[in-house]
Amino acid sequence: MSDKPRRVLLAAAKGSSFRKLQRITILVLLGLLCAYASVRSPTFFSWGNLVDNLMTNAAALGVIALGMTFVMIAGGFDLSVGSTTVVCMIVLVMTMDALSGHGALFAIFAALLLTLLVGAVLGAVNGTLIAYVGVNPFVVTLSTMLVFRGIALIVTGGGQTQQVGDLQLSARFSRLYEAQLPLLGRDYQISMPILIFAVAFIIGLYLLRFTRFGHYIYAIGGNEEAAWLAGVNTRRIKAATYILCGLTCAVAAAILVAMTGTAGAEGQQGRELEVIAGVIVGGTPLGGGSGGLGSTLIGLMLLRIIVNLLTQFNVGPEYRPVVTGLIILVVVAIDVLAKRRSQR
Amino acid sequence: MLQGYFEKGKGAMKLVKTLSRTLLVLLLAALVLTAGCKKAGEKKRRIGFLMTLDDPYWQNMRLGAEDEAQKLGVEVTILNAKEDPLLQIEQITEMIAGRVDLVCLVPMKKEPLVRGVQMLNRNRIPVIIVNREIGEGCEYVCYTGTDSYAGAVVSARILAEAMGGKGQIVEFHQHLGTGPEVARSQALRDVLKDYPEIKPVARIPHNGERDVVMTEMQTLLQKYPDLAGVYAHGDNFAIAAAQVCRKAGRADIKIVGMGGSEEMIEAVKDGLVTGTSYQQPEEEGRSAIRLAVRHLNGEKLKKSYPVECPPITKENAHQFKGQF
Repeated sequence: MSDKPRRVLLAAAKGSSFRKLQRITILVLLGLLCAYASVRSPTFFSWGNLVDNLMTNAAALGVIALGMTFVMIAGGFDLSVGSTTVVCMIVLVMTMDALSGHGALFAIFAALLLTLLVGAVLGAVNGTLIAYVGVNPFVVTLSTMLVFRGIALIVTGGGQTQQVGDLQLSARFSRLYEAQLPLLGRDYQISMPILIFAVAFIIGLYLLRFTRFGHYIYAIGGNEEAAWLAGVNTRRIKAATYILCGLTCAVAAAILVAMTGTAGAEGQQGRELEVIAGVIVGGTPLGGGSGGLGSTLIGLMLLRIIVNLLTQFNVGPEYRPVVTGLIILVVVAIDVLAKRRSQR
Repeated sequence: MLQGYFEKGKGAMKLVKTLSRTLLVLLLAALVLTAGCKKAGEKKRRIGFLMTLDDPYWQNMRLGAEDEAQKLGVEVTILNAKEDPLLQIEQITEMIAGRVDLVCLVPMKKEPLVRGVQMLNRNRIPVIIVNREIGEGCEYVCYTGTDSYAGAVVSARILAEAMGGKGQIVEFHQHLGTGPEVARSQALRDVLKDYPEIKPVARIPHNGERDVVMTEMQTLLQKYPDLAGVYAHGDNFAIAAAQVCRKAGRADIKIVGMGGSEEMIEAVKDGLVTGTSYQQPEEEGRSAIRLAVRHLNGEKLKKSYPVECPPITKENAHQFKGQF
């Protein structure tokens, strides 16, 4: 018997153990950082900081990161998420304001539906250009990033803040951010954004792990041509990942609007890079083909905890980008090293 | 599987070594970074200063705040919201989680930050508003700072007077949609109501880049040969525009900025730029910290502590010293 199959198997087993090693590295890193933080800063290891502050604030970005993970597993890339979110926020506030005469519930639901639709349409624009026209995702989403931001500026008359005039309606909608659910007792409440993220996470996990759609996404990221030859409609699947990403931007927009009660054309700049960094640090490579939602969650939390720690330790603002940048580099370097070793 | 791997021998051990070394380096880096920070044991009062650091102006406000905090023996945490109101609200929740004694806030935008200040209100953390306005519906101890709007009105009047009340002007916006940008545009529109013969012909946005202003200015000079004035949101951009005008032989164009930086005051003395309004970021930072300490000591404060914003023109430029 040739030992070739045995070697292939061995290599595969090695690969997966290296993957695990990478994940373990991140988890150990997280654990060490947290342990160190709780010793140094009394306020770090508290429900108020970890859940009310850290996780609640990461939720909106986390939802976008879920959509981004789909896009990136399929080998794509989306720079326009920040701008898409801003457009969705403006649409949400403006429709709610326009419909405020028709009853609060109707206004909220109609506005949410329209926002999801707009998110999907913006995603479809990206998806169509990338999958069907065949333009490079970097170029497409870089352009749409600018175009969507411009649309936001035009619609708001040069960046005027949009508000829901009906204060009662606005207060109702803000429950989407402020509501606390006493799931674990009165002292340990969970905020609405965390719940929204959890639901999105479960739906995403189902799509990615238990449907054919999810498997096709991995197949396309692994080897697009092979997937196509195997009969997968690669174009449609790729376009669908961008639509999904647009939808997650719309969901994030709802959380963010609930947070401030307003929408403007500014803000969310540079967020696309934070999302992408989270996905990459988690372990989904730029070329796609592997990774997952769990890893994205871990990656994003690692970045967030570091930012939180820097505040807890009162580190000057100019050191922050340096530390964050170094962490991304180190984690991704470990990933690359591990992969190279596993391929030998 | 991992265990099986460890038994495989040298390669794995090497990798584990590399990994542990990386971790060690990271931890050391964290230690070094935090070593400089004050010990948590001392009961110093802690003040969060939530602002932006996009421009030398803010850097100087920060220096003023940090210096004053050191003098008065309080600890100040500076956070940079990069003109993003949502990021600033996140930073507010971080301040709440970190249980600071007081927050000095430069609201990135008027209305969205109301919710943020309400959160601080609910957690009984007092707020002092610095430099920019905040919308209605929230409580704060007091306001201190130079009003962007008032300063912009001063600059707009200098421009209108210098132009003799007529001619075409262009406006350079910085960071579309942010608080001062909106206030400064509004100031120009309000002042121009008194000067109906001044016509704004173009509005150019940029994100704080001098080179963008310079290229745009070259284009504008070609397109509007009768251009008579430039209204720039910020000294840096007034100077950039003025350099282009001087090079093109159009030194007759009247140009104003706002802020009163060292470079700008020199430029006004030199005649390169017509004038500007004098803001004092360092003093704003100091004032905010002084008021914070007074409030924490139980003193009763007024609602507003404005920092003056006088006009600077060639006649009086020698009396001023730039704070940034």
